[in-house]
Amino acid sequence: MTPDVEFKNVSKVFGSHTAVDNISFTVPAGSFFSLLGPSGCGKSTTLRMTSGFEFPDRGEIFISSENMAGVAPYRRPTNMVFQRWALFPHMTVFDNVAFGLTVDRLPRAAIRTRVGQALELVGLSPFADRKPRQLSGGQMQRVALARALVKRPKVLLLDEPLGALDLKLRMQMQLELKRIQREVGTTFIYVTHDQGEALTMSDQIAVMNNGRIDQLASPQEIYDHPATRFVANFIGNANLLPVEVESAAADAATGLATVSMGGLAFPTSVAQKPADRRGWIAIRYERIRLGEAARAMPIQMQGRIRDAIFAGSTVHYLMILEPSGIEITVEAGHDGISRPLPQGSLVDVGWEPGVTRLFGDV
Amino acid sequence: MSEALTAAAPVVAVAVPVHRRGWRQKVAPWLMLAPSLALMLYAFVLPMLTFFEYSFYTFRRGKLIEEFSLTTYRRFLFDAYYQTIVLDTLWMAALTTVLALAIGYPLAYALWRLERPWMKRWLSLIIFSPIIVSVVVRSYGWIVLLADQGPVNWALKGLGLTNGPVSLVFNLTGVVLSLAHVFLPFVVFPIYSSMTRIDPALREAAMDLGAGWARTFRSVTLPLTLPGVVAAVQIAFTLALGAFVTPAMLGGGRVLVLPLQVYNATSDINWPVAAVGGLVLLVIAILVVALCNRLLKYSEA
Ligand SMILES: Nc1ncnc2c1ncn2[C@@H]1O[C@H](COP(=O)(O)OP(=O)(O)O)[C@@H](O)[C@H]1O
Ligand SMILES: [Mg+2]
Repeated sequence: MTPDVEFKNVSKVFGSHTAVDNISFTVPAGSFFSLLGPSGCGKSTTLRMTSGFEFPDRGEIFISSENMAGVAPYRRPTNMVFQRWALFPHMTVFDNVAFGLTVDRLPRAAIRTRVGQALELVGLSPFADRKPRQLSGGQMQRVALARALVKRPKVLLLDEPLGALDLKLRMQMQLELKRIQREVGTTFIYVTHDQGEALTMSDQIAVMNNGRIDQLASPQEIYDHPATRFVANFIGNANLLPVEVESAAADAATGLATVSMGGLAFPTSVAQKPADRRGWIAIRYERIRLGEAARAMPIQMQGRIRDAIFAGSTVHYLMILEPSGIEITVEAGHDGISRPLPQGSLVDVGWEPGVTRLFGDV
Repeated sequence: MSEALTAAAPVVAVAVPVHRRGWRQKVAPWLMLAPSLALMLYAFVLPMLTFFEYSFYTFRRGKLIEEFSLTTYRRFLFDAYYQTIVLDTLWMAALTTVLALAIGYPLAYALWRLERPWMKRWLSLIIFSPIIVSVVVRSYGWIVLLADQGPVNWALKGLGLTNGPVSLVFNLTGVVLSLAHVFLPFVVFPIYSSMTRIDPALREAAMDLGAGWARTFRSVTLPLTLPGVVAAVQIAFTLALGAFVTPAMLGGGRVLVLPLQVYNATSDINWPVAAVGGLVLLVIAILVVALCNRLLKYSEA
């Protein structure tokens, strides 16, 4: 597939603060691409450089292989869904959606049909004559989406479009957005700080941290094989445990390195090769097995339960590993019948070698 | 009347038990309003009532005839002399408002778009300056500027735009120019404030959808600043209606507007004409304010 959007070593500096720090990536045509990261990491700035509201200080941006240097927002084949939707308050839903087409001086009849189709797509046909303030948040969100899509952009840019909605509606809109993206086949670049959103919707996720891209991969790759400690920490729930590195070189056959914790050596998959003997492994809460299940695992140790937190579908155990004395959190499924393991009991703990990721000590 | 009000106030305040906060909260605003209500009553309502009474009397051969009659009203409505005065007043107020808007809107826009705080501060100060200067001083300044031998005429001639001097002062032009000048802050700041209330993302959204600067202005900025424009019109128009010193000084006796007419009538002790003139001014002002409020509601709906 040809790339729709390409960033080449792009940086953006505000005053003395580097908001975007030398990032490069390509977005394949027709894909759902997410920029994920905590607030202030440079996601919006990246998006705004794509739409032309900000210009990079260094580097180049290509859209459909065309260099965007000096191209004004209204000349770019992109459209944006703004963070707070930015609907024109003095126009009806119809006029909001029609705005981009009237600016392009399309014939009246063509505007009618296309606005009609766009409203249909987002399920707002009966609301065409309303003013934005007569709509609910979810409806305003759909108007913003229709207004951008009706221009048939090559790339649709969305800046935390669901951020202002409540949880239920957000889940519903996630599915809807994904459906619409499949239906229209437009490239979506989606900015969010919500990892769940990014994981469920994206084909590709770029995880941003401090203006840089820490990892760019598929949702599963990012979840299962985080490339940095930041990614491991930011996405999902992971224990970060200090380890001694026995042999950092990955074994040729298994691709695993050997580390030890409290004198107990075990293999782990490698994300970054540690520079010295000190390193960290990340392991997700739900990848750790307890009791019977643990005894079937290649890596085994024991742990004492310090606390059990019941969370409905799961139980979270705070445990002290023995003999290392390291604290970990384990998420165990709850079957609806059995009682949580009692506090103070000593239980078997185990996991697969592939589920831990080794990071250097930085 | 006013004494009774203010005297009652402290008694009420003391009598309220601490736990009856609801009642107290209801009374407190009225207590705070009391002084201004008293002032309004004494300085506005009572004179208006007196005026109202006088407006039904007639003035004949230097004498006030205290008998009920609608003669003065009839003269204002049907006598060509008074009709001209009323229409001239409206015309002058309208011209002043339009000119103040024509200068004030771009100024407000500039003030809004300026990025540097120090530039914003200086521009605000410049916009504010006309009301810092006394009306008499300012009027003399305009007389000097606009005189036949003044710098404006000199510049016009120098540029080859005119042959002889253009009379810019001691006529309607001078009055309108000077009034528009002093009303600038009253026009700029309501418009500016309506501009700052526009979500910056709206202009970006318009540009994102393909609109250039002009289209964005026409379709987004202008409609959303209309409430500010209406407020500005309201203020400028009503202020212009009541203007006295400027028409007196810069009109050179050729601009006879209602406030001047009222003043002349009072110095002739022709109370009925002064009273009806004042009431006509008041009615026009109320109509303009009401009309503007209507427009405001409409533009916000
Ligand atoms: N116009 C601007 N002027 C100055 N600093 C800015 C501007 N826009 C963004 N920043 C700064 O750049 C950083 C990244 O901002 P942004 O891209 O909005 O982050 P995100 O969308 O990931 O929350 C933040 O520290 C922010 O304060
Ligand atoms: Mg942002």
